[in-house]
Amino acid sequence: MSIFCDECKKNIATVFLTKVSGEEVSKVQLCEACSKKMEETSEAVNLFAFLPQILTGFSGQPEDAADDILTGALVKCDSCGTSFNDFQKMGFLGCPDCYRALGEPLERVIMDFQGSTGHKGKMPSRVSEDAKLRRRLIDLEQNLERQIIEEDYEAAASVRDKIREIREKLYPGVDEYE
Amino acid sequence: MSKGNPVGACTDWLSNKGPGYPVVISSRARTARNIDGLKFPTVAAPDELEKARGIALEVVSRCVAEDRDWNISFAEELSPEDLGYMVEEHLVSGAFAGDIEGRAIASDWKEPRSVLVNEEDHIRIQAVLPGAQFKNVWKVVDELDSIMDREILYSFDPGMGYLTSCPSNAGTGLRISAMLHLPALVITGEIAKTISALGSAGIYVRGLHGEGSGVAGNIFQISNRRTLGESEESIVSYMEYTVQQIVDNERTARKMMLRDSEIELSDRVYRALGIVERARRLYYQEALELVSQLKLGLDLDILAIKEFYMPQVEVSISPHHMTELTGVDVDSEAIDRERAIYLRRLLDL
Repeated sequence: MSIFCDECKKNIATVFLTKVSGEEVSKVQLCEACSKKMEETSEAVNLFAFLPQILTGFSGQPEDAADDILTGALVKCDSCGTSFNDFQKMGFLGCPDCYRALGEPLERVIMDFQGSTGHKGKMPSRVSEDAKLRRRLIDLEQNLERQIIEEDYEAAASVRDKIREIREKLYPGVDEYE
Repeated sequence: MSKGNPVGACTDWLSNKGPGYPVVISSRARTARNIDGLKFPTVAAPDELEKARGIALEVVSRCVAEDRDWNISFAEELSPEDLGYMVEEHLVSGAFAGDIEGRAIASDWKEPRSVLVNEEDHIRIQAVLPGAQFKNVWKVVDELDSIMDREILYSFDPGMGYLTSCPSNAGTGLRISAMLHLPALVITGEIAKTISALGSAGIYVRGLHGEGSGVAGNIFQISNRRTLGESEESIVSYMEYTVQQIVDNERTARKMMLRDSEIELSDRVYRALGIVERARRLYYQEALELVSQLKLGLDLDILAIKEFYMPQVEVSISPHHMTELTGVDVDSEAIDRERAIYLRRLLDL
C-alpha cells in the first residue's frame, strides 16, 4: 500500500478518509495540503475522515469499531460550526442542530453507545400533536407485536384498530393493512 | 452539618436513613434539558450563557420558588471554599465548581431538590433522597421538570428525544444513580466481578463523587448508562432491580465473611478502631477507609461503639467541611491533625 497522497501522488499521506457515495464506500488517503483543498470544495460533504481512535472512551470497543466508523472532519454544523472531529475531541456537541448536521457518523456513535436512536420517554408539553401521535403509534405497534407473540388475539385486534385510527389521522388515505 | 451549605440547600439525605440502609445510602435523579434556539453551554459565548441563565432563573423564580424558601445563587458569587463545600455535599459536581462562568444553582431549603444552570446543559434538575427510593426521587424531578417545561421551549427531536450537549445524555436526559456502601464485596474481592457484570449490563460504576472520581471508603455510585430508547419508568425500574441485586450480593458477602472468616473480619475492624483511637493525623482518604471498616463492624455487631450514619461522617470529615469547622486552611497539614481529633470526638472514642 502506497504511503503517498492519492491526489498529488507526491506528499506523504497523513489524512485517511472514507468516501461515501450512495451505497459505495471507498478509502482515500491525502496529504494535509490536498485534504485542506478538499475541505474547501463542495465534494467534501460526502467525505468523512477516518480516525481509528474515534470511539475511545465512548464505546468501550475502539478496536472493533475503528475500521468501519466514518467520521466527519469535514462535516460541520452550519449553525455553530462544530465538526465531528470537534465532537470527538471535546465529547460535546455545540447546539441542537448538530444532531442533524453531523448526520450518519454521529448517529452511529449514538447507536453504539445508547443501543437506540428512538426516544420512548417524556415529551415536552408543547410538542406538536403529530409528534405525539407518531410516538403513540410506535408504542402501539410494539404492543401489537408482543400480543401476537403471546397469542392474545383479542387484545391485538383492539390495538390494531387503534393503530388504524392513528394512521388515518397521520397519513390520510394510506392503510398498510389493506 | 456544622452550618449548613452556603446556599441553604436541603440535604436531609445526609442524616436520614432510607430503605436498603445500611448498604444503600441515597438515590439521585437528574434530568438534562436545553433551551431551544441557544447553543449548548459547552460552546456558548458569555452573552449566550447569560441569556440562558436569565431564562432559566426567571422561570424558577416565577413558577417554582415563588412564596417558597428557595435560594438562587450565581456561581460567580460563591467563593471557591463555598463551591468546595457544595461539591462535598454532592450538591454540584467538581466540573460545575471548576468553571463557574454563567452558572447558577437554585435550591429548595425544604426539599432535597435543585436546579443547576449552564453546567454541561442549560438546565439540570436534580433530587436526592435517602436509601433506595428511585420512584420517589424520579417523581420529585419529574414534577419540577413538568413545571419548567410549561414555560420553556426545550430542544427536542421526536426521534432523539431531549437534545443534550453530550449525546450520552440524549433521549430522556435522565440519570438515576445510587450511592452504595459495599465493604464486604471489596474485602472478599467480589467487587471486580460485580463491576464487570454491571458494565455489561449498561450500568456505570463510579467513585464517591461520580464521574472521574476515585473510589474511597468503599462507597460506589452506580447509574444507568443508556438514556435513549427506554422510558423514564423503565430506567427507574431497571435501576431499582439492579440495586436490589447488588444489595443482595453485599448482604450475602457479609454473611459469608461472618461465617467463614470471623476472626479475620474482627481483626480488620478492631485494627481500624485502634488507628482511629490512637492516630494523631488522618488523611481524608485514609479516614474514609477506616470509617468504612468501623461501619461494617457496627452493622455486623462486631463493634460496640456509638452508631453513626455513614454519609454524615463521610461529608463532615471532608476537607472543606473540616476547614469550616476548625478554621484550618484546607491545604495545610494541620487539617489532618484536626480530622483525627474530630473523628474521635464524633464517634465518642
